[in-house]
Amino acid sequence: MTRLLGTPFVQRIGFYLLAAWSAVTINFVLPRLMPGDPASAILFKMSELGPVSDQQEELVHRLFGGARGQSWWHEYVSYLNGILHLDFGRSISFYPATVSSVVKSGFLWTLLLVGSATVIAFVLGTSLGIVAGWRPGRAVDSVGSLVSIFLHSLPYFWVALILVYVFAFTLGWFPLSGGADIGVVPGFTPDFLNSAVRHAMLPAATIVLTSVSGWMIHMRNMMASVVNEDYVLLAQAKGLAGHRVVFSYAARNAVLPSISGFAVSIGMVVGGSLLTEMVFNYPGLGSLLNQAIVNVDYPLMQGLFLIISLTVLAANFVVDSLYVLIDPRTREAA
Amino acid sequence: MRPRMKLTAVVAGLAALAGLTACSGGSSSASGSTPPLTVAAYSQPTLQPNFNPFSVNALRGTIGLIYEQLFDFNTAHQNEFMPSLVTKYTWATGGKAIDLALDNRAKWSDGSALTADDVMFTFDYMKQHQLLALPVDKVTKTADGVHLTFTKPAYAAIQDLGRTVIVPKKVWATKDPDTDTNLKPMGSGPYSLGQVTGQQATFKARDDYWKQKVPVPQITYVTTSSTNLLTQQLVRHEIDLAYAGIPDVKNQFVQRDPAQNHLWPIYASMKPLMLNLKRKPFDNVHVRKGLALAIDRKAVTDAYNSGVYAPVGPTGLYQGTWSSWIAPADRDPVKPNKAAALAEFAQAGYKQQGGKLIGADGKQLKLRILTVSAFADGMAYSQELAGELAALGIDAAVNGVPSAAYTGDEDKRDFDAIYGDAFTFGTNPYTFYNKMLSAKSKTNVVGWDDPATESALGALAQAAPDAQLAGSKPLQQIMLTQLPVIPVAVKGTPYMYNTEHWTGWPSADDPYTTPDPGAISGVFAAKLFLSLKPA
Repeated sequence: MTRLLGTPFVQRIGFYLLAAWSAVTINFVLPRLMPGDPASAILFKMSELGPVSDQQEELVHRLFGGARGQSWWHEYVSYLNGILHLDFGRSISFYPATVSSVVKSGFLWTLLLVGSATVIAFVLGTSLGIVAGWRPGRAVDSVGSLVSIFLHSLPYFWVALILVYVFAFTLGWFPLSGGADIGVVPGFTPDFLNSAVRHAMLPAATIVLTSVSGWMIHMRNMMASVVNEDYVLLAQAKGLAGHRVVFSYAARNAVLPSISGFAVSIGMVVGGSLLTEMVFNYPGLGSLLNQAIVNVDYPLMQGLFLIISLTVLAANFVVDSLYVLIDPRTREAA
Repeated sequence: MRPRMKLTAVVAGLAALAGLTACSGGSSSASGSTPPLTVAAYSQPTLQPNFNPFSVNALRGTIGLIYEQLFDFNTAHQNEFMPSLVTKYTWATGGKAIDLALDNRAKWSDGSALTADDVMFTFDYMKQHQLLALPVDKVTKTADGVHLTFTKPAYAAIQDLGRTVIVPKKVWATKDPDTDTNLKPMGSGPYSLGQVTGQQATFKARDDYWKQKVPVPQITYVTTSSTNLLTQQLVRHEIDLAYAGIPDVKNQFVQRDPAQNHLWPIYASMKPLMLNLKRKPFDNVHVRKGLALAIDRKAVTDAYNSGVYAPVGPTGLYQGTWSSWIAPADRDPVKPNKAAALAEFAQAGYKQQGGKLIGADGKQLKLRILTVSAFADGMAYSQELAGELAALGIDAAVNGVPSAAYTGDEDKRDFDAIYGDAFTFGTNPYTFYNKMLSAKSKTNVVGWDDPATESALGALAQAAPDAQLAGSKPLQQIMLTQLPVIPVAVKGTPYMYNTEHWTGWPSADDPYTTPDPGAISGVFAAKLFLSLKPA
């Protein structure tokens, strides 16, 4: 077993190291291709709110004006060095807070909201897909596929706004925005959990509603092709129980591509659903990313992109490794 | 940026559909004794705790609620003196020295007295850490306060001086103002810090505040990242005070509950059409005069939230506030005059041919107005401007870009025209004209470089208060005859509040302070919150 797993694992680790280095480097280059500089961005933001005194202007230029002073090469080396020491520097838009503390402040919110919504959407969508794809063309399939294609084509922000308008603004069942009620201190208290869950309902519902159909269509199509495979016919011919054929024979094989897709989307969760968080004023990573971009905050952008790309890589690595265990064919190929 | 604009449009439509049903949405969970006071203080979705008054990212309320400034001047009412820690100031030796009388009742929140030593320390500390842009030479103690000397007459810097935040010596002597986030602030102001989360900061009234009893027991500053969300929160009275623009504010907010919902725009800055003077043909004064005469300023200000912006006269100073400074003939905004505009263009060699304004080189006059695409208001005003100029035969259009590209193009001087930068009126016209016209000013992006302007600015900077009116005249004259920028409108800060929970707000009838939650001035904010009464 160890000998069998050894080679593919070593190869994969090499591949992931290369991918990580590319991600880190692209992550360094991309923000720097943006126009503008942090000092002007900060001054511009300040002047939108009210007058900026000479004093503040000089302070901003002194603190942030040199952000583009050094050569790219020099910045790149110190950036790599910082990453090795897990030191991402100080954020510009939240100066003097450090990038790690800023990222940490949004991480849990996003992980819990978008993470749980993605899992729910995946489980729900895949289950519906199994049901619809088992007997293609039946009523369940026709109606389900039609509805899911309709849902799939709705623009996300539009669904979000409609839900906010109906359930939060007009009916008042859910709060309008934010991560928790005003005056509730974050912590493992019943008050906070209750408040946080109520605030997460609508944003999570919009994510589930708009992404569930993607999983469903995908799974339905896979199922529809798998049900005609010989081994499924054989299982039926052997007289196995219906649910056993559906789940252990057909679905088990049909779900494989969905699982790789799931790995990617779990990785993307950390990037936050930028639009969800914008519409709901949710304090997660998507909101932070938006603020970093608006303020030309390179250190924060780098920190966030890095977290996003590394989680995608990590999720893929986990799934790849699981594949080697689950699917004998991948072991043979290696 | 595009999805956001779409969002705005969609919600505006939805909100319009809502009609009357939404009015009943005022969810007042207030228990009679202590109604909430919630302020929409941030347009960003999340916060990081920072209560360092010297930091540009200090959370609002740090200055005004926790720390106090020396004094200020009321923008909303004739720049009237507003005392805070200082009760009186007296100029000496031709503006090269000033005496500040401190309010001797002032105390820090630990009960110790706020003394002249703390004030002296603050100035020294700021100087030592390069935080002081004032020409302060020495600070010494006097019988009732402090005496400051300057390296040059500092009349023009009086407001910046007044907005100095005083910190306690015993706490700050060992702190680094660049990196300290000061999470346990000890100030002299009416509030102490309550809870801070990623989306709000709460301030609790101090029962031992030195000046008076604090009427509002708790103030919460919250984040609201989109204007459509802010609109809904305002209508539901979840937000008591806000000052960020929302679309169609009169119908979407005021008309929903005219008895309780109020809007009061404060005109603190002027937004001119800025032409790139280094680019032909905008270096030609006749072209600039022609453009100035072609603009219908009333129509521009009506293009979005009519009443929030107002047309401004040709000196750039707002005639509503500065009328005594401007000669009567130059007070009113320039009226659009097509014939006069064409006459000016003719002097620059431009003639109308087949509806197009063609120059001596045979090309149509072309003008792209740079503005920030994310600001719906700025886009609407710019589009109206471009439309008016196009009607005259100019190839005029709006170039809407994200804010980073906007500041980038501005820095590179890569634009024909800009409509987006605003210049603040100070307590006297010096700051205003200096930022706009001085060759040394970073915000003079049009490239105006004129010796007469520099000498007039130099003289006004050092002019005693009673000589400032005369000193501003040469600059007003340059604006009238040279048009280094074309004054279009004064920019209003749309201050919105409701009277469901609290009354006693400043208004056009009783402008006792400039409504501001502490973004501009802590003195304004403290005066506002100390004047409210439970409804």
